[in-house]
Amino acid sequence: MLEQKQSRKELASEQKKLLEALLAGAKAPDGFNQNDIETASDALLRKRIRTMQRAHPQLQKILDNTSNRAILNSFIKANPSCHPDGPRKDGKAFLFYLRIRRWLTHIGL
Amino acid sequence: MVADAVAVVEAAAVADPELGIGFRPELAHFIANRSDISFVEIAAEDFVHLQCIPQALRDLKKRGVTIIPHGVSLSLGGAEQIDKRKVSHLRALAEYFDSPFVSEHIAFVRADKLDSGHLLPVKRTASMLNVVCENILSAKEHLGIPLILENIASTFEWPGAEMGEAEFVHAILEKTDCGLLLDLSNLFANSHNLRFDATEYLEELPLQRLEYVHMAGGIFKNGLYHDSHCHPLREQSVRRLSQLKKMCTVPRVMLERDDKFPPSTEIENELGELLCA
Repeated sequence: MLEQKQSRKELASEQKKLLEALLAGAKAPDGFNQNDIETASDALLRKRIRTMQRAHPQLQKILDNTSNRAILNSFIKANPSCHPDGPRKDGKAFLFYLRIRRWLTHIGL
Repeated sequence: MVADAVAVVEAAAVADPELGIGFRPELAHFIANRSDISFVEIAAEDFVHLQCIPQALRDLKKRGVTIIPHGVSLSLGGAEQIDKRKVSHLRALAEYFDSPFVSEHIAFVRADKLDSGHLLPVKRTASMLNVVCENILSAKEHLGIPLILENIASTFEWPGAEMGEAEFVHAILEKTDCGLLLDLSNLFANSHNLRFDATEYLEELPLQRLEYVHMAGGIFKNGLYHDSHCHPLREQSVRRLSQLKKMCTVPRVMLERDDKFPPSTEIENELGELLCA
């Protein structure tokens, strides 16, 4: 039982390291192919944006604006994890972030 | 002569799988008009509250269509303990629709608050096998109805694998006594991206555990195959379905289409291909 628990802990740490590479730009963990991880990371990011747009169709138009695109990039950098409750909540969090950033720009910060 | 005739009738009886499709709001009208669809799969995460269930689904249930709750976020292959609230949600949906079973994936989704929003491959070692089986058994106990497990698509592999994918899936199904949801498009993706023989893979699976088959379209990008669910079905996947039908009884087969919905005639053609394969 103890061995199983230790094993879980070690495996959890390995899975976390892989996610840091896939979502947060960390180097691929030992033994993984860096190119494969970068390709998968790009695909995950595209999927995240696509599913957010599906849940919030207004995002398509909002993201046509390049300054909003830049705000999306900064949102993703600040929030490398997808929302645990799915794309609807993820998109909602981004829309909130966008509103605050625009407001900060509006008041000159 | 009579015995031959009986054998032919029996062969015909087992040869035709039930037809299904992934329920999406965009397809609700199409599904409502198809009387030959006997089951639909619903994405459990799309219906956070039972009050959100659309009338179209309730109508299908009334018509006798089987509704199968399908989860993508349980992270059964995660090294952390599974989230019991997600299992309860699957159970609540199954109770609501009187579903015969629910399905999930052999994959991990998150670790330590980092959520990928995607199904990721699991390291195929003996210790990981124990963890995955423990998670599945714990989910099964909480569910109270059968849990059917699906193979996923991936574009990369964990280093240090102690067994092949089919062997890993086989061991999980046997140890947990779960049914198999075989995604032939995921199999096509993996056999192409990770370079293994799909026929050998099928031969290694406990096909007597097969409950249903997923079929979906995808796209090649820079030499890798992506299981997009928003492109036309591949001829290779349809051929693989024909092969599978010769190897075992395929009780049910369904189409998954999640985006870039084509005209309904194209969906009709793809369903026709599943039936004729």
